[in-house]
Amino acid sequence: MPRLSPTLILIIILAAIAAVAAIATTILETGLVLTVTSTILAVILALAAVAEIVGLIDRVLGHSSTVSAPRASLTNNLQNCGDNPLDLGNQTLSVSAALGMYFVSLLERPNSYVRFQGQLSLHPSADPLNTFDEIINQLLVPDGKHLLILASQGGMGKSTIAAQIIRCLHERKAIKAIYGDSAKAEYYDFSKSQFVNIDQPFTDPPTFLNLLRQQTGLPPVSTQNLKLNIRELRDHILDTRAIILVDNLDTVDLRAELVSFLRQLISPELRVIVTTREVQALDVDNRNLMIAHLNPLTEVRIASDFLSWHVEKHLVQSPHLSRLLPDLHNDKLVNKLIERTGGIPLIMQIVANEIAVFSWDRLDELPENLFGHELLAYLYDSAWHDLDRQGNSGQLAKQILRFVARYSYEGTRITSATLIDQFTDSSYEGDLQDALRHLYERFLIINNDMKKGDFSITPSLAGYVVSKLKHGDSN
Amino acid sequence: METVTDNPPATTALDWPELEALAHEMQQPGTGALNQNSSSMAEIDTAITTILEAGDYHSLINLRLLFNFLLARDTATGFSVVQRLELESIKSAEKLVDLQHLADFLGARGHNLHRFGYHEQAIDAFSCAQHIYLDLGQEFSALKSYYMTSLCLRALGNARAATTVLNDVLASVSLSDPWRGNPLQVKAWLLQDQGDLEEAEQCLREALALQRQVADGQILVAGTLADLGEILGLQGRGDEAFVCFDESLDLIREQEGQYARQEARTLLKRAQLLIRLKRYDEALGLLEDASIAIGSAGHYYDLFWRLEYARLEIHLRKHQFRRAIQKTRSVLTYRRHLSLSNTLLLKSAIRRSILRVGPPR
Repeated sequence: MPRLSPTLILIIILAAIAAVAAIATTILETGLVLTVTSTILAVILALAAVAEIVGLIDRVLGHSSTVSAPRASLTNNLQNCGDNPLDLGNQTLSVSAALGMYFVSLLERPNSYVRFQGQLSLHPSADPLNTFDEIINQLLVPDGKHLLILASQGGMGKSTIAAQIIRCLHERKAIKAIYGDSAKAEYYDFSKSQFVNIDQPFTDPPTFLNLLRQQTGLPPVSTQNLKLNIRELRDHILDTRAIILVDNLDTVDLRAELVSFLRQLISPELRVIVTTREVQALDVDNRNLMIAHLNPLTEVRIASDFLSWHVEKHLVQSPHLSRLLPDLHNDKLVNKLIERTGGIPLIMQIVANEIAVFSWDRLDELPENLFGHELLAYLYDSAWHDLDRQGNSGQLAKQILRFVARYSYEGTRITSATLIDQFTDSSYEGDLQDALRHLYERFLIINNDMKKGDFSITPSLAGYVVSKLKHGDSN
Repeated sequence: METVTDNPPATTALDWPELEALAHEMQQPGTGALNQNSSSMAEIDTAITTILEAGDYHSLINLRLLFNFLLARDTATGFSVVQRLELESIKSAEKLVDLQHLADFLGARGHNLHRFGYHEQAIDAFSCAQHIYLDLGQEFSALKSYYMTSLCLRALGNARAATTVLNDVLASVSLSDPWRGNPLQVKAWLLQDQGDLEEAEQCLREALALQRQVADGQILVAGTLADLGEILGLQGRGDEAFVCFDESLDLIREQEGQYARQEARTLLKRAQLLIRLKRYDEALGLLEDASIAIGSAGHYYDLFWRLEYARLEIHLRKHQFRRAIQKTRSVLTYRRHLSLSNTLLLKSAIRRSILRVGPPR
């Protein structure tokens, strides 16, 4: 049962007072002017109350949604929803460039996501076996929960799943625009070779509000009244089927202003997805809110299927991956891989590529006391030093990574032509094809288009490359 | 068109061939470089900074000429880098007492201010440009700046002054001059405002015939087709109207992203016809597309409040009063930012509703 808004309650009270005043002045014969004034006021307030009540009826009858996607049945088949890549060149979906090229590439990449049972956990969940479907259904229906927080450590695939969800929503005609940003507390200005701190990180609601206002075409704020500014944005964005993505927020405090602010924006047409490494304060009102955790791949069968998918997907770029295929039915080997990598998909992919180049003995070389982001950093370090041992083509490979990292931040597509323009002159020794081969072998670069080239690197690797620059490694 | 090589050589050490290649790439239809955060914009920004640090005003002007299309076409004019280029080039021309470029740049600024909705500032810019052109003895250029004030005056609700300007302009231009199509188009708007739809249609057809003779005049034609579609729709000739809207959109979309504002304008007019035909959901879809098209370009507030007004109308007709209230607030937010009178809006809405000439401007 929808609640009566404070505005409506106030109007009803004032109307009642005015009506009583009108009656009283009539009975007491206090004067025509006072009687007429009270009567007119009572009539006006009554009309306002009627308008509010009609609006309330609109909402009860579900008429408040106008441009939403058709109401999704909970039995809707969502098995392949979001599998088709988006062709952003045809501008079927407007994407904020602030989200970076890695996320854009996830939207455009075919077969970028593979579902596994147990991959996602939702609290509380009505359907634990089909969490992805449950999330989509909530996001699709106009009165569903439209704020989703995807939480996990790095390398689990948060951005990949967020992209899959967005593709699915777009397929179902639930969204036409993506707004938002990838959270950065600082960025590296390559032209000046220095880090620049962002004074007001966008976890600050006024800053994020300004960003959204700019992205959606609102004028700059004219007042510091946050409530008013939020209302202006909400009024403006009404009727626009959109999603706000807040990607790579380190920590989300559910009581914090940003989440509270995001909650105020959601509507039948507007959804919000936040990806984060950590969620604090779980014990909160989860009305309109879903919190989903990504789980490591711990079952041998599932890990084996995942690795088969990885091999199939990247075989063209890295033909040596075919060596892995016979071993993926060896439960002992796969189990060892799970144990040493913690079942984190990205780490499994990197290590699988190394195993394909060297051997399964590579697993014994991994430090036993490192997991998660520390293990990822170790693997990147190891790959970085290994590139040093590959001569000129290894050095060129590192240059390519720096170049792609830069343009990932700036929202520019890197094609084969771009790399050829940039790197085939006498100032770069080493063969471009050899350099790319090194990167493919180590799963350090992703190419979504083997004909024209469409290169990107994961945010974690981009962060690693930039951190190397911060520590003076420009070689 | 004036090029970099027509002007004093640049002295600041920039990679001009690379900038020229960038400019060439950004002008192509379907380019992804028309993006506020793109590296292309960053390159232009860096070039501006480098030039200003060197105090090289000639180079600033050359840079502006190279990227003139960013200001002439109406997708990127609101981007902060493009705005910076515009303002710094005006300052450079002032410093060099380069009256020719100053007049040209002020005229272009007037166009952009008008597109954004800052009509009074646009009138100031056009008036300055007009006076400088007259000092330079360039009467036709002065006339064009003077003509543009009529659009701004009309937008501010001063139909009488707008009509005076237009009559002066039309009297000064020969009947066969293709440029005459532009003031005829505006005359049609004024006729529409007065309720004279048949005359307005006549004017627009005459304007179209002239504009089709202009080399590279497709966008002019697209704009006039959208207006003609609107007039036909108001006269109950919906089928003919949709043909005009379709042709307008086809012409704009050939440029793939270079004229986002024009596309949104045509979509709005089409949506307004759909509203009259009670096809509300279709109209909302078009309004959504229009908003998204110009949203990231930013600053086209004059068009935005009209998009919001169309939504307000839909919600009223569908008895969705809460949404109507929200959209009313949104209309007022934009108009407040543009310092446009709400009394004027109300008067215009009532008057135009009675005359059945479409929503307020």
